[in-house]
Amino acid sequence: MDTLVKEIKQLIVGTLNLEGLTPEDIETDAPLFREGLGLDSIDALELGLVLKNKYKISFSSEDQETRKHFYSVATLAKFIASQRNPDAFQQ
Amino acid sequence: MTFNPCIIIPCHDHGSMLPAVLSALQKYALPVFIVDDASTVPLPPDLIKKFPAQRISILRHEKNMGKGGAVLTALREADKQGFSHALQIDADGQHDSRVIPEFLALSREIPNALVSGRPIYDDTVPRSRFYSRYLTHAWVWLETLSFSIKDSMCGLRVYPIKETLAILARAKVGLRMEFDIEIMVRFAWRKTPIKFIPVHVSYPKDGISNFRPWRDNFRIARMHTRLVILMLLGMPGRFFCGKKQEDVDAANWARLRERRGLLGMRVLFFVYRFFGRRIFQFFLHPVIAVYWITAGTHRRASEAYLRRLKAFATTRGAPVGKKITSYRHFLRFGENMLEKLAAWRGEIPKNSVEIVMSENVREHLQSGKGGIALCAHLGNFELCRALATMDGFVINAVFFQENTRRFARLLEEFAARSQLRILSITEFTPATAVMLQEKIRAGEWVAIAADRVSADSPDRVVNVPFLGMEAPFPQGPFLLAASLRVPVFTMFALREDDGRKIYLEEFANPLEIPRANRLDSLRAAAQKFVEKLEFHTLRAPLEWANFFDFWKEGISEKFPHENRE
Repeated sequence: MDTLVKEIKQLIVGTLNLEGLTPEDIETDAPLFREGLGLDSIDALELGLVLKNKYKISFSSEDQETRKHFYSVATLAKFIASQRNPDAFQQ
Repeated sequence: MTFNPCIIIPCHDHGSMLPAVLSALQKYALPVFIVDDASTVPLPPDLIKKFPAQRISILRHEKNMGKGGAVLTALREADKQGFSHALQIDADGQHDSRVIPEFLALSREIPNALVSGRPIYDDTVPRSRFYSRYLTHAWVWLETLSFSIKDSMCGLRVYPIKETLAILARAKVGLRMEFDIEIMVRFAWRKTPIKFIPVHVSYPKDGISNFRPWRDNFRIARMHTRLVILMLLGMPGRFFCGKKQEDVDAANWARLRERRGLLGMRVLFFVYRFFGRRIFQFFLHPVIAVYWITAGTHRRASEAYLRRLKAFATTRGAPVGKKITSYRHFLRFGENMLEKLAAWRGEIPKNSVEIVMSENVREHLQSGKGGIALCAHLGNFELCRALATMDGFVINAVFFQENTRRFARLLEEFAARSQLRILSITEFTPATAVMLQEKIRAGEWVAIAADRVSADSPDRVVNVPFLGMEAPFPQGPFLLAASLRVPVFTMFALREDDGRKIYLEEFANPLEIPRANRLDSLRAAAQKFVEKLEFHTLRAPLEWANFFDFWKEGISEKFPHENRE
């Protein structure tokens, strides 16, 4: 899980061109959007595309669901882990 | 309300058949109301005594009031006595009463439905009557704009009493032979469910028919004319997807248009499919004229647009001609509706559309690569179907409202061969971005209208000068195009003086809206698009299809960095 969290942070910084920000600056549990890291809707789309291509995950078409998954690095990591290995997540 | 059915039998001179009908009904032990509609031949005596197990009431009209009149009398009496449903059966014994339990079961299941028989004829039916039924079917389909009424003349049916009396109280329904048909059409208009059960019908030998060919056919023709006029009267307002509606703002407009448009579309499809293109064109003038006179809001929007356009064209030193009037603007919109229908049905010859594009674009197309096409409500997007002449060319048109799903279904219903797919999207989410990117990577095209503000996020706009004054344009299409990292084009399908044309032009590859400079680059992208839009609008002004206050002032911009909610 920790490696996944690290990877996601690197992806965010790499993809979104966050100036002067290093992966270490991103708090795992802080909100990505709004008051947290301050990402916007276009970031969400770009991030979604990159994550999908890297981890071969699929998002729910339900907007509310996707919003929950995109809340923080931690929720994203959990979501990706569950998609990779649904059984392990069940337990 | 508890399900409490009874049987009603309107009877005029069919008294001799009544004992047979009643004895067949006996086993169902339901109360029976017989309405003797001023029969000249008296009913057999002792009917009530002969069937002691059944509660039979006989109501009598001194003056003949017609079948509908008899049904109405029976329904009122049954309602007074607390019955909820009335099974109507003809007195002449032509209906097979064995199906009654099935009727009652369905009626109990869907209590507000009108349950009707759908006759299956044996060889005893006179041919002439058989054909005239088909004529009636066609009328009824036109009146209800659907094929859902499978038969409107069968006299074996279950009426939900309250609903039926409500219709009869509000509308003036013909009470003679036309009653059976008209009441059903009115049920359909009220969107009350109508269910059908097949029944065998035989015409009894030596049967007396109360149907008088001349008089009753005249009544029926008169009724159909009346119903079609009523249907049409409700139509012009909906024809272009908007009733007379003061102050419809851009956001609401998108919603309204969709809802009302559906009926208008059905009418158009129907007329087009049944009567063909020339009849449709013939009908267009009066419909447009009525609409132009009555739809004040849209007319004023059209006039305001044309005033602005003319002033702007003059400042550019290229004034538009005198022929550009508001009425012609409306008329063109109507003609474009026709073109849409024709295009959907694949009836626009592909070689009648000229595709204007650069060598680069042609190469891109021929290599089978996809892209995003930014479009506008200018001209007739459906012409882009002509692009599908190239092998494997698929266009996905993106719409942003939930209720366009219904519209998409309608499209499928009428244009099954369509190569244009409708994608209905409520919001840009990572899931939609992924879906669209996959389509484009697979060589498909995604067309997005970049001139209408989404009904769901009316403040996500960027104000850009258009025809000399700032107008709100949506941010979404540009943001989506930028995030997908795919080639972006503009596409305008227009009818110009010298024919139908599709302009497919390069826009950006990829579109850059970098984080550091979101606002300015978004505005620049919108501006670039609006310049193209303006160019084409000036060349084909009547093709403008935004019949609302497009420049609506005072929409404040809200940008992506200001997160929503």
